[in-house]
Amino acid sequence: MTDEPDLSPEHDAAVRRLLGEARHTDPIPEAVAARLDDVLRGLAETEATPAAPAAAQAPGAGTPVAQAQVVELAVRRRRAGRLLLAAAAIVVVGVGGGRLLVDPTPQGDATSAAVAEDARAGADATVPQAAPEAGGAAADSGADPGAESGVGTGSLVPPPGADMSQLPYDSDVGRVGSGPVPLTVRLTERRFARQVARLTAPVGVVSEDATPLDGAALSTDPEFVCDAAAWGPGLLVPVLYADRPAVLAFRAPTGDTQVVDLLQCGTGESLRSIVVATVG
Amino acid sequence: MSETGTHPGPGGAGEPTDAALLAAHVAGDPAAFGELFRRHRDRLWAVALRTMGDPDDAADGLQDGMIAAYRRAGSFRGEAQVTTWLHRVVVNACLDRLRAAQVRRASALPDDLEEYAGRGALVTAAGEDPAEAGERAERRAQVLAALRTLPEDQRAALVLVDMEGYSVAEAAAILDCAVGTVKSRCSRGRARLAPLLAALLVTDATPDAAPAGNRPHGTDVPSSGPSRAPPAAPTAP
Repeated sequence: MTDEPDLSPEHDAAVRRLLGEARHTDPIPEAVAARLDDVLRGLAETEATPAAPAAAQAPGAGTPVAQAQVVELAVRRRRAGRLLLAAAAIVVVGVGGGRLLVDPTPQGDATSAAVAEDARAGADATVPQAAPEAGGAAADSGADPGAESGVGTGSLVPPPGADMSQLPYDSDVGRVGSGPVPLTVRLTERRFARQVARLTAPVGVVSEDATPLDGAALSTDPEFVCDAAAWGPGLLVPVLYADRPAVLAFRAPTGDTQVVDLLQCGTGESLRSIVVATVG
Repeated sequence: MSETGTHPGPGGAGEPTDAALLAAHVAGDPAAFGELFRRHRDRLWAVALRTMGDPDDAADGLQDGMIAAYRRAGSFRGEAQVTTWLHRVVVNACLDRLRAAQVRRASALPDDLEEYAGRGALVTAAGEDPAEAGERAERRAQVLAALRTLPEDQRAALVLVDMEGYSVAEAAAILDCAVGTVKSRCSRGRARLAPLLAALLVTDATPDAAPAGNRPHGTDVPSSGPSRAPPAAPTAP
């Protein structure tokens, strides 16, 4: 199992000593501390209760979600140019009664988020892109930013094969249809970030508040068995994460970035969170 | 706040315990989590920095972990100490980032080598020979570069045990794995590092060499830097 030769006790101790000497003992840099403080302030301001996910476990608890307020962190990237803008960074977003701007751009531009993710990983074009099973079907739905119409709360997305360009479009919400959506997005633990970044035209249920929704309200697929939870505002996309139902919540974008939360069925607890580039 | 306990903090006054702060946070105290996190962030930063290898990534990983901890505080069951739980969340966030960016890692030197080469444990002591300080900085740079070549799980174990001075048991709790797994990862990691650091080991593995970085059963790493509180105790903000 091990390819490494056994170390002599002396060498083992010497390696440990070298590692101990390389320990970092400086305090956190002021800039990082300030950034974290900003994030905490944003969290306190935008999340009505700090244990919001736990509170959401109580169906009907009606956990209030703070009014729209966005705290954007200092997005600093060592990568230059557009990829820098598109690179992942963390923002904290709270949305209340707000609508979600879903990427309305055609695919040409839409892949920039995935590219950015790869660029951030330093992988560039040498990295195999996420397989189609990563949810490309949903991502590749080819929204047309042309048509516009009003959209109400709880509006939804199209059935499989639907011509997205024929669906109503709202500049604040994105492409919407009606009724639960097919289950087309499958995410893996390992490739989560890249897979989500590729979902540049996600389709799902638009939620404007913390009203609990169950799996049947989110997806037409019988495989998507998901207990109700208060997901919060955003575009709710039913997914399979590590082969288990979950909900991907695209929160309101802020500037160039957009938070995407992976939420647990039944609790609404955030399992993972990522920031992707907002394209458009 | 409705916290249930206090402990004499570094300042001597009865400060709320970590558990009390976390409970207050869950109960809605908007300031509690910030106070809790500030207590531990220097050490969390050190772990994130050594795990990630560069300051930007470390800041992102630490922030990810902080947000996750903030949001998941309600799920803390108290099986571990709060600081252990915080470390677990942060380390997991860092490892998530590393895995996501795995491909780029290759063998590049850590970006922080230049920035930090003369700092931290290698801050030149008053009166220290600059040449000696330079040698120490170079040695440290080599160690960090070698560390970056390890698989994430081995690196994380070594960062916690050999660099940060956590006991194997504490590291196991943080990494959410068995004690034996941590020992194995540390052992394998050191074995991988040894040939990469051969030049340093020739001079270091001498009979009168200083004590090893960490004792096998988990006491703190002797450090040439400023002392830190043990893992279980909050550090002064």
